[in-house]
Amino acid sequence: MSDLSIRVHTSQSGFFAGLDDIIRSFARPPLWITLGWYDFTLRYRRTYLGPLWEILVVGTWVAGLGLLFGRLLGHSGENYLVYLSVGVILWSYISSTLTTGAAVFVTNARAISSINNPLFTYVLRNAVEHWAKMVVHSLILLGVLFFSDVQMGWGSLLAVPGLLLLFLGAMAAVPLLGFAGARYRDLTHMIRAGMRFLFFATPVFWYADGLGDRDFLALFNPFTHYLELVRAPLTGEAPSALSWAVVLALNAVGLVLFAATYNSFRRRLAIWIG
Amino acid sequence: MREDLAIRLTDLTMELPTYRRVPKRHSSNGLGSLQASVGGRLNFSRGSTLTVTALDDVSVEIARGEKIGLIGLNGAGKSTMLKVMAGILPPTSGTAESRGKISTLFAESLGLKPEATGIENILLSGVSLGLTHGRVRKMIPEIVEFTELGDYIYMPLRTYSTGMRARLGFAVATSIDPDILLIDEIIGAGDLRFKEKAKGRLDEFMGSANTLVVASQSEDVIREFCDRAILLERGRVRMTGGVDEVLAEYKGTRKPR
Repeated sequence: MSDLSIRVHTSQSGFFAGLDDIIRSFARPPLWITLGWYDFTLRYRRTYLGPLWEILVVGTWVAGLGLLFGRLLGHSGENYLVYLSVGVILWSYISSTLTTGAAVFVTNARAISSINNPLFTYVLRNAVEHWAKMVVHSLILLGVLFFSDVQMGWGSLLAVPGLLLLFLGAMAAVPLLGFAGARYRDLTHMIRAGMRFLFFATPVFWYADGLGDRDFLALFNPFTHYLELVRAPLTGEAPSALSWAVVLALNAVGLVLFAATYNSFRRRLAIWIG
Repeated sequence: MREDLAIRLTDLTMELPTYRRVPKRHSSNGLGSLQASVGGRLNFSRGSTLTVTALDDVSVEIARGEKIGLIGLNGAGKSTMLKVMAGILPPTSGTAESRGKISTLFAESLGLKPEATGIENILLSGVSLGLTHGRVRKMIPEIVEFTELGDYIYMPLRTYSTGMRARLGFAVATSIDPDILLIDEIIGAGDLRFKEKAKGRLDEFMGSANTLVVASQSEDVIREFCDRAILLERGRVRMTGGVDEVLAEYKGTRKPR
């Protein structure tokens, strides 16, 4: 017997309707895991190398930057390669998540305007695609670690909470950017322009302390701290208290903003993308 | 909502902002202001952005088990009405109520992933409509048989014709056993044989308790599938009633005045 409960759609709906959307989204992993997985793999249909391209693209970055900037900036040794590869892998996650995040509802416009599914499933679907990418990219790190002497200890596990905080922050940022990007189509282009610049302005392949008395340039950059929380434990250091504080504060702000706006933006989205 | 109703729209207005500045209408092309006979009313005067009134103070009651045809000129509000019924578009004012599981078959839902095969698209549509992998896998042979796609089912969806996509979409949308099925055009895209099979499938899957709303330009489709019709004109309900009388009225309005 199917559920014959009545659904009412009016112009107003409260905070709990938004919460309900999120709960119903998490309750449907077959939906977002399957769709996210196909988003990831279909990109490589009709290629010979398939998802291996992900390794080659990011691997080229790591190898190139390692050879060139490692020498230019005077960083050497296996420790730098670990530092660099973690940095590039995290950066490619951050940059791709934010860029596609601003378009997350626009790219799914067809599905959103033809099936009444909870909206947060599209955020989760985007997350699955990026998690899958990151798993593939991590093989590069494994390779680097295999050929280096850097020892992984129990302390390295501290990278896990850092990574989870990064994922959580993304989960608040993606829908916020997605709404803004659906209403104002300039946003995707703006973020793309910004991320290109921020790659050089963030200590991805250089060390923040190399800036000397200008290290505020790195410390005022929130991405520095998200990188630090994951990367420091993997290179045998403890993340600074400042980094913990900044990341926790930013995540809190993001989640509050998300909770405060999700439902009202969700209601208007179908019109923005229509 | 009364026990015997499946869908009810009450005093429902749907205004769609276009997020465009009001264009200059008295431009150098010498056209000036033009009277449209299609589409919803364009509200040039309100504020600085242009809005379209796609549905204008509409009230509709559809009983459980009714098979309804939506008719009207291009842009009369048929697709908008289906999307409001499905809960996809939130009404600007008024309410939309529905009872039971809804399945939708709109042009946008056909061919979710052109690069994926027919089988994979069945899976993707299936999970989108709320099925598990296991349920989808059990459905596949029966869907393949209904669609008559044969080995095409292993081909990427981009190799399919519109009619072939319609067959696939129709098969998936009906297989989840919905209480309410909303269809926009689609059936008209299929060939004669498909229309016959679609009718058979609806009779089989959609018993007397299941509600169907079809928007179509095809008189045949409306006559074949529906027992009542609603005529929309520029966002308003112009007439509801038996299929024959509403179609006759529609033919009257279709002539340029």
